[in-house]
Amino acid sequence: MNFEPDPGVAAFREEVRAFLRQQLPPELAERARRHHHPLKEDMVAWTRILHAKGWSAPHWPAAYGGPGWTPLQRHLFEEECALAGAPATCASAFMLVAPVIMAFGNDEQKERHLPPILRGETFWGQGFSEPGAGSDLASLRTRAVADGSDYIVNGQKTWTTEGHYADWLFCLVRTDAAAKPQRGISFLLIDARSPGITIRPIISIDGAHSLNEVFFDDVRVPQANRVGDEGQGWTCAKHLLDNERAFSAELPRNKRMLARLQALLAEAPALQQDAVLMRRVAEAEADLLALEMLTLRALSEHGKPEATAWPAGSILHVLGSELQQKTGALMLQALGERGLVAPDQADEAAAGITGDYLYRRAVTIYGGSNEIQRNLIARHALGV
Amino acid sequence: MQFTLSDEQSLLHSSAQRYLAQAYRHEGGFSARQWQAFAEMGWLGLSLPGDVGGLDGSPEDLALLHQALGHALVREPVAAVAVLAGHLLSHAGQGAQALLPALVAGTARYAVALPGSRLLHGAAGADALIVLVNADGHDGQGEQGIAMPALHCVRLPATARELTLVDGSLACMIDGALQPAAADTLLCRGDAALHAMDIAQAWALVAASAESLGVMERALDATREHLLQRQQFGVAIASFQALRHRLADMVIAVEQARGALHAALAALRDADRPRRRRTLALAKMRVDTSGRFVGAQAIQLHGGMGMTDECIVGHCFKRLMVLAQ
Repeated sequence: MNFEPDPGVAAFREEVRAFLRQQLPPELAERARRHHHPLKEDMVAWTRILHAKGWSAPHWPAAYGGPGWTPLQRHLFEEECALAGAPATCASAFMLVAPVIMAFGNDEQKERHLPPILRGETFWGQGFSEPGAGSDLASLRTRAVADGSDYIVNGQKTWTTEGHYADWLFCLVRTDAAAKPQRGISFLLIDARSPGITIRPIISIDGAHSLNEVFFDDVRVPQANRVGDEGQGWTCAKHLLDNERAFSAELPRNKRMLARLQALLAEAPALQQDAVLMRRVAEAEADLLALEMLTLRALSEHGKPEATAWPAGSILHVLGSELQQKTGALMLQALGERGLVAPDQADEAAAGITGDYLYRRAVTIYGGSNEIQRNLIARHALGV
Repeated sequence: MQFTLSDEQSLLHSSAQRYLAQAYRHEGGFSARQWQAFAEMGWLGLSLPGDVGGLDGSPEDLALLHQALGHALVREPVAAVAVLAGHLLSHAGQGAQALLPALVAGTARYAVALPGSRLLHGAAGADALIVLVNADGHDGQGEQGIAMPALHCVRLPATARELTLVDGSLACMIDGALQPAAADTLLCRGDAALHAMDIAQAWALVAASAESLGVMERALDATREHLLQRQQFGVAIASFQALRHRLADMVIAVEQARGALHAALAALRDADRPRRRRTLALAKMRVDTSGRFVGAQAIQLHGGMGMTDECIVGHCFKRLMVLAQ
């Protein structure tokens, strides 16, 4: 164990920063700052710029078009992009469905779907949760019944982020209603333009449209679109949800939020006289310091036995989500009454902050609520 | 940056933990016998230079030792004497360094009087105190009325009172600021004095943080065991979700403390002095916040038994109080 700085880290950061300085269009970064949900055209444009550099899929193996970076380099890249204000790329495509296709898909599925994702040509939405199946996802009821070489899909999915942008959906469907819940689930890729699919917006408390309900009325889907075997869907889902634990901390977003908070304070000397506020800001900085070291530790343990010694994914999820909420609350406090203005009417300096503050109430709920995460942490500690 | 322990570090940590589990007991506030054993094992000079009898250990090595000391709830003032005073002396000039071999050998003890503090850890039975005077001054040459910072080695005042702290460790309370008399030894002055104090406090902060982490791990282990053993309403209380979530919060707090310790270790290498001081202060704040929570919840989850002197968790709580200073 030693905490001497890595010489390679600074060099890699500079390489990424140089690329961002040259290639990140300022108007894209500005829109990402003002809108707490990225616009589709910005996400696609940025993906294409990254793809030209070979960097659109930093987390993919080199065999599928990834740049061949270590987990640490991937993390540093995400961090520099976040600090520069780059918009996100389609996480559902790059981070969720692609790893499942790589691990469980056949060659035809890989050839059909992975290159267009890599190039930024297809956008994906996730169809997992249902009105009756949130934390208890295995109780999902969307049904896929065999009909010749197809399935007929009926049911409803909810919370599909950017579903209204999606060309394709990846869904967990029930193919065997008689089996134990987890064993009757299959993983199905569904063309979002299939007849019988209705996508309905859900307006969230931030006043914005990023979430959707997706209704399936007798939707015909080729069985060839099933990834893995029938009944293997739950295994595919666990693979997807168990992705690199270190990213659960959402450290890049946390760093960007703290930087924005510090910028707000720098512009308001009167706030810096508020000892209580400044103390709370220092606590957030201290939390971020610890979170960064825990994230780096999780990254260094990738694939090693030390990884099982602590439930890093759950711990980082809880800490990273709660810190985002605390930092957002401090930004709101720094804005004072200006923070009460509806997101779409916010002034220049406040743009994006209130909307993001409202939307970030979800970060302790999605990806496994913090209550579920605490259940997992306790089970790890107690062994029962 | 490397998180995995080297073979030597694993050995250091496990052998320290094993020795302490087998051979360490509380014997009043200070045991000369235990102190001698620590000296013989090289613990007092672990991070001090080889030319004064130390082992040239890294900050990480020191942290591993103090984690073990914390886990065993050691009361003897290793951090105050070997780390704070030790590093202060090692950066305070030749006269100061000449005092170190005896410190490392366990035959002499020195304690530091920090500016503004009257409660001196490690001072009980100490051979001398090291005091920084005119800390707000600067290295002005002959400017009238501006006093230069200086480190002096002084005798304990006759009025100093030896006290027992809540955790059973010993300290001395002095009446007022120590003003070195002419006969007392000037060690060094000016920026060198401030720099020596800065470095010593950085090492001591790391040691105290690591010790706190060890205490927290002890409290967490005890709490986990208790939840699994204790039965109420016909079941182990470990089955109650409210308690499971509280335990989860303790686990999270311990890992935050570990992350903060790692941040402090990284910061020791930061050449930017103001940034280093700030990072160290933030890291300590995070460790102490975790310490208060873990200590308190360990008692809470033990119920009435947590309130007894017989139960270990109250001792953990009190040790964390003292380490948070």
